[in-house]
Amino acid sequence: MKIIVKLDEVMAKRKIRLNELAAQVDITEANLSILKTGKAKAIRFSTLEALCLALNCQPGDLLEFDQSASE
Amino acid sequence: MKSIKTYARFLEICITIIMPIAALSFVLRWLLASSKLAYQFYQSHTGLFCSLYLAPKSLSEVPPLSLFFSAVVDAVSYILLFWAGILFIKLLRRYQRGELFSAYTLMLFKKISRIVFLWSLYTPIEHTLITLITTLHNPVGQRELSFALSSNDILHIFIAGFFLIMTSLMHEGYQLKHEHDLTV
Repeated sequence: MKIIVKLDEVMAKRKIRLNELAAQVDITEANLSILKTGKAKAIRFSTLEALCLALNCQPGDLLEFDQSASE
Repeated sequence: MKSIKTYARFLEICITIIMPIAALSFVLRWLLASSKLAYQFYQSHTGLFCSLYLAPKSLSEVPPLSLFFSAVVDAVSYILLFWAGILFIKLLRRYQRGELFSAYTLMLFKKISRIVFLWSLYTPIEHTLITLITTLHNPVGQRELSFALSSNDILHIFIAGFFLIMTSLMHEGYQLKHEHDLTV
């Protein structure tokens, strides 16, 4: 995967659990787990916005482009 | 979604009714094949009787072994259709449960389209084989080998082509569904 989701890192820094975040962002734990484990194919702007708001971070803190994987 | 479930239920009932009738019709046709009554009754059956004006006056003149092989050739087409029918019923049951674009329904659709395609190609060959088998016992000069492509055969090929295109569409739909499921 070229785009790496660093949700688990940010969650660890904020010391927030998956079920708490899911409740704050208003998406299911299963969907959040898909995102956290890097299985997600796409992310909606609305979800990203809600995550940034709940975790008090920037989209760049949650996503990273892996140059080596794309080559 | 509701209409798909309704149509699927309706189609399942229709196929469940038609399949035993077709099986019974096949068995009766070949059990009574040597009787003159059956000959008159099934005279319009193009595959079996298309060339009988040349050789035997009725199927009673055809040796039992030839009749048996003709029945086997005819059975192949029925087996293909029944196989497709059973798979179609399985597919329709999945649709009734609201499972439209899953890996299993895609696999069923692929199988059905391949079987229908095979059947559409087999049907004209079946006519040729049955004509050959039923006239093979005739004296030299009265044996026949014919190949005909009727409007029905062409229609079958169109239906098979339609199923193949539908399979590609289902594959696209499955991929979209998969992507949609993994969109957070």
